[in-house]
Amino acid sequence: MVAFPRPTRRAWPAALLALFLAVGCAGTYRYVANYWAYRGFAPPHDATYVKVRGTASRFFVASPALGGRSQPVDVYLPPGYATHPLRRYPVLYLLHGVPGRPGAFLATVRLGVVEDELVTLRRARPMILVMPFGSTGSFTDKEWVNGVGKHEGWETFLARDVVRAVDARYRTIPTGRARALAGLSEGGYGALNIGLHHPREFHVLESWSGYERADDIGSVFGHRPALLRANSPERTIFRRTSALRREHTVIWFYSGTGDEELAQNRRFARTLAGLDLRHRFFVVRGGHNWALWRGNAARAYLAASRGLRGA
Amino acid sequence: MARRALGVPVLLLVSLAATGWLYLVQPALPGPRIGGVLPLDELARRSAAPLLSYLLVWGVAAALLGLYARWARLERLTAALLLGGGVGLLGYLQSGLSLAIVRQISLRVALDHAARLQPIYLSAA
Repeated sequence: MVAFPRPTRRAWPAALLALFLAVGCAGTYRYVANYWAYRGFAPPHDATYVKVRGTASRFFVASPALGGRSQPVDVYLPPGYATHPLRRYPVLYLLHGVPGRPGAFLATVRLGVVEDELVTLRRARPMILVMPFGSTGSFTDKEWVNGVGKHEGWETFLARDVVRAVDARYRTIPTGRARALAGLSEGGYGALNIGLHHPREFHVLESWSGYERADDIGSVFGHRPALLRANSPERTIFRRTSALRREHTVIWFYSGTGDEELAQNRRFARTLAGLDLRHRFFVVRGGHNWALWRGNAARAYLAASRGLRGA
Repeated sequence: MARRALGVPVLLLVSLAATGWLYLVQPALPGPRIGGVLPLDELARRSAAPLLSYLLVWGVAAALLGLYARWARLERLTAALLLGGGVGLLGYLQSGLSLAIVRQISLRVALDHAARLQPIYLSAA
């Protein structure tokens, strides 16, 4: 029989401290990791009535607009995509904000789960969700515009390179009438800005807590007034009115009651109403945060689905 | 002297570990809850922790810090003031930073909000 030495009285406090620290630090790691992955929410999972789920994947686009840089593009294929090989699908493009990454649309906003549930309930049509990474780092601001720097064509990357790559790779309905472009915060601004520059490429434009006046970021716009004006939807809207009317483009956007950009969004809604353009704007209780975007994900999906009904 | 030099890392680790424990035991206990304990979970409305578990975890943390103070041969009042103040300061900074990230507000405003959180004072006490 092996005789273990009796721990000394002094060893007990040290052991207790070690246990407290080890378990506690593991808990802190989980706390921070859960925020990083899900922003504090529970990991998304489908309701029990969902029998067929969509599938997430990732591919890379080597973009000429970015000097050949290879950018990751996350994709969520709708439920039934694999089992209906002849069917073609509309596409919902989703632009992240800053700091941000595309994975948050599925992990935090839980848009994949929303799609699975709405499609199962036959309340919305299945769409391919495309979430490109529009920056060189999670904390690097590119504003989804063609910036002043060399190989900084982020708008062209999305509107041309990603769209072409997606149409070539997946069974999409390859027309602008079957494409929606949405984004949150900076991505919402990007969706409006790109959508107004390319009215035939996207039929539905959604801005979740976005803004309409270009943010004067030196690394992006070089403080050039002309470039800022050309990338401010509150100004470009006047030049695009006839094209938007011709294409029957739908502009759908919302803002939180506590959002700093609420006044700007309200003004833009008044402009759209004055120009008699198809739009829907509403204000929801909340700030500028993930709870708001997550809480309105189903509305946003439904709006895109309805907007693309004719495709 | 070497023992006293360990004060800051011990304080930091114990504070971090206490937050981790609160995260782990958060759903387990019934009873009244204290808000703002886990500010990173604020958007998910899970930032509150049961008062009982809060007192239990910080009670153990305080006992461990007390043992450390004895081991480091710190004078009682000095130890209480330094360790209590340290815990409060760390909690304040941790909460402020978390609120700035979660609410997407400036750090200055977030620190103002953090100063109004009960748990900071409770843990320091």
